[in-house]
Amino acid sequence: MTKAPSATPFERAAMGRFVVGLAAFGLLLVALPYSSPLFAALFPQLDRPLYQQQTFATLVGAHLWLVAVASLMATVIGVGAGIFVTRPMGREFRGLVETLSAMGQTFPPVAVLALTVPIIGFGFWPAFVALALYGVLPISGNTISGLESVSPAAREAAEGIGMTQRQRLMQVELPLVAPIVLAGIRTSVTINIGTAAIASTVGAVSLGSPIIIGLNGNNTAYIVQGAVLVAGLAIVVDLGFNVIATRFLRWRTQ
Amino acid sequence: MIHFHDISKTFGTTTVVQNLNLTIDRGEFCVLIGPSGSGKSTILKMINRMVEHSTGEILFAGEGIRTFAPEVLRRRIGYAIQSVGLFPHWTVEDNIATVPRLLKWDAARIDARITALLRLLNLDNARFRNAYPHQLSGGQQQRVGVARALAADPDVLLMDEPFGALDPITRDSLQAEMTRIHAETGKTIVFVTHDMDEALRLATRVVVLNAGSIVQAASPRDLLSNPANDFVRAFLGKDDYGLKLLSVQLVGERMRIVDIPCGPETVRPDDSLRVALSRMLAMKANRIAVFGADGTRDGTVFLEDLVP
Amino acid sequence: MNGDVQVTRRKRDDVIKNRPLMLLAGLIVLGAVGLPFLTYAPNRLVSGQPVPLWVAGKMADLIFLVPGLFLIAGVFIDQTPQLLRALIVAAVLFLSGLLHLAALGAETLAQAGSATASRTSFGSGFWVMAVATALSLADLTARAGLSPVSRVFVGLMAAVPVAAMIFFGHLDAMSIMKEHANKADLFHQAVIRHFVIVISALIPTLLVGVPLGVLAFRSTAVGGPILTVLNIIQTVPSIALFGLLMAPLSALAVMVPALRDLGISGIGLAPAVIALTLYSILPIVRNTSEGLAQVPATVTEAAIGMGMTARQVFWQVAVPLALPVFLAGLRVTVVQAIGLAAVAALVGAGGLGSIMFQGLFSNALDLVLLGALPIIAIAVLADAIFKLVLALSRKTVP
Repeated sequence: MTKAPSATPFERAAMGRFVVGLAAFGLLLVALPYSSPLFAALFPQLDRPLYQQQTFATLVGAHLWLVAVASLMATVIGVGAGIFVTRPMGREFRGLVETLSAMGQTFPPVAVLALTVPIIGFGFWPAFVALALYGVLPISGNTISGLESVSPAAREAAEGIGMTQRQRLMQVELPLVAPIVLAGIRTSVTINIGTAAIASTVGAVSLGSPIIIGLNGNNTAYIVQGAVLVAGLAIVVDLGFNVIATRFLRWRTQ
Repeated sequence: MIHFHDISKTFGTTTVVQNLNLTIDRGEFCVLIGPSGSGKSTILKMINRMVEHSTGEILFAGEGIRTFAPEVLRRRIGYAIQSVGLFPHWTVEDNIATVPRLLKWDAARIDARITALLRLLNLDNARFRNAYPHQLSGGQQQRVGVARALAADPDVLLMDEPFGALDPITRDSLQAEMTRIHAETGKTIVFVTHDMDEALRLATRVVVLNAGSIVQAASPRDLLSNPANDFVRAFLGKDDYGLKLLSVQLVGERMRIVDIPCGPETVRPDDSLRVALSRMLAMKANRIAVFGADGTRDGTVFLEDLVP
Repeated sequence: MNGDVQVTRRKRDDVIKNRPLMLLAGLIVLGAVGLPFLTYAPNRLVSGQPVPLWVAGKMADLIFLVPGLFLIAGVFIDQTPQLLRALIVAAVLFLSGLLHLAALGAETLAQAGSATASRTSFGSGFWVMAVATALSLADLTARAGLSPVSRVFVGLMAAVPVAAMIFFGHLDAMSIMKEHANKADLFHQAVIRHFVIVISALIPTLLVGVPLGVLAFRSTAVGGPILTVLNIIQTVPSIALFGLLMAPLSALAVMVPALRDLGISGIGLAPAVIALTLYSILPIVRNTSEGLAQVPATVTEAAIGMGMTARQVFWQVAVPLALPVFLAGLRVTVVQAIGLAAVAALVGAGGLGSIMFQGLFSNALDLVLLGALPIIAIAVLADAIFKLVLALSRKTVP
């Protein structure tokens, strides 16, 4: 095997931005628990300028956990559905899956979140189900269109070499569609981070908790703390995806 | 009609056209030909100011082209390009009517003009008038493109490799159309191509270009008879030079007024000698009958007469 | 060996003609017999008891389920175009029939107990059957190869009876409608408010976004940074942006009392509309510039060469050809804005989100439905309208 080519300037820049973002976010996370005097000065009318029901680190962890687990489930279901529907056996179901995907993306995620409560109740699980369900849609849509666009030449060559269907899928088709599937996962995760912030309204613990409690109790300091953290988290995660995406770009132009 | 006086064009540090002096007379079918990078398209586009010349002066009907606003100039000149560029969101009718509408012609006049142009370009009015570009074949689209260029009845028609993207059969039929249109309308046509056969077939005058300068400008026959240098000779094609020579000579000039039995193939007096040779070879014969447009036997062409 | 596999497969296929429909029909059967059709509680304090299908309706009423039986039978019949059309009609009828049956059941149950205090709501069986029927409708219309216009017509056919039943009070015995009756004015205001939020944001979005999009198309030096900034905004979760706008806006309102008199403050419409605008500008800018970018260069060249001024080229050639891509972006923007407006309720902007969140905070699940379902309906309707407009405009440009 030849040695992998070194990183392009694109990739280095993306990695640089990600590292900077991660460091800044880390700094924020560390500094925030000590920022009580700052918030007291900004909002003198509040008794409790600093959110203390959970540590900020706990909130970040809970938020990430919710998003990660839901996105993982969404990826498994979404990619699985995409593969199934582009095989001869599942082709009949393709219209249905695509309709579901298209229609589902019209539903506002916050409404989907709210609707899980009558069925499942409050807490972590309705949020998980809502995020996973909603996250399936961009991923399955991208998987389907990606697999459909794999050049018939590549498929034919793989068959001609003597690969089984499974080998073709694993070694040729999936690697080729990885960039576009990743784009779907990225979209899904970005939406999920936002929806998870609202998930505290259905009883899940996340970075939205200080925001919602702040809104209910007129505590602007809580709101700012939660908002700054979740915005920072979203940006850092996006920068991370960007690093992966630029890597794929390099491989693609090869 | 069009005069180029000491024209040069520089893009950045590259000089594409240098010291060009060329006069294109009214009614000419002037073909600009040359290899890639010879500047032929640039020269064409300088006429309607799609490209601005760097030095020198270009006169259009006696006036400098810079004395008009670009749009005004362009509305007086027909412009047909290789990729046609029909407006996909308009029907054939709307496409052709573009410049007349810009010139604010009244609806009845535009209507009549479209009908006349469709007939000129051999497009069936009923089928094509309200069709959209994507419903047409490449050849049909190019015909509409030419009709659109002719719509406002311009004195000059500029064509930039218009048939380059078409298959040989369509190209052949459109070349015949252009010859006919030129004969019927008497317009001045400036035509760019890299295909020598096309140039020889269509032109009244061929201008051979190389690296932005004119190498030779002459009628097709003169070009073939007296190529100025090796470049022109090479461009004319060493291998089929003799056949090209035949293609610019007509049957009518070499036929003998005799009536003897010949094979099934025939030629007309205005066909080229090259066509006559080709048909004779196909028949494995040494002569071919000549029939006029009215169907009467005009004479016979003999193989031995082809070599002067 | 391959031949054997094909023979057995053909044998199986001979029986089941439409596998997606089989799956959905299975769900319908499950919903009918395995899950509660309605849930009934004699009053608000007690939790609902499941009411199966056969209890909810009298025997005679079950005739409304016949189209459903036909739908299930359709799994085993050859999928000819005529059958598909018949099945589509059956699905539409079944959907309305389910709702009608629920209404009848609710009325019966209301008569048994106290009409005012009792709470009858849709059970999971109802939802499973309704969703499965709606999905089968989608699958059947796709199989029948209907044009986009026909598909919208089918959607209307399904939606109109449902809307009529709701509007004419047929479903008033259901708890969700009772909630609505309790809060009729509030609901009415919330709907209007929701539209106001979306439209108030769309106007500045278009006024700012379209020119920015044209600018971005003309100059990548300007367009690059604009898109980068907008992308960053898009990444920030909506509630965070709402939250971050509240502090400066309320500070501003304190400093400039005139603004407060206008109604601009840290909570309410101001942060909502501003945040919605910021989110909506990105798709508009991106689709405007991409729409203009995909106008073929040869078409523009031909237009200039024919003597059109730059202005004429822009308005007569570029804009019509860029329109489909632009409209696609507008569609995304509007649907997104409807959802964001729901979240804006958290910062006091009102709208249907406020009803939804009130339900969540007070554990009143019917209120949650009363807020969430209309939001979804409006979003789906807006999406369908845009799809229709796009399909109609695509006649000319393939």
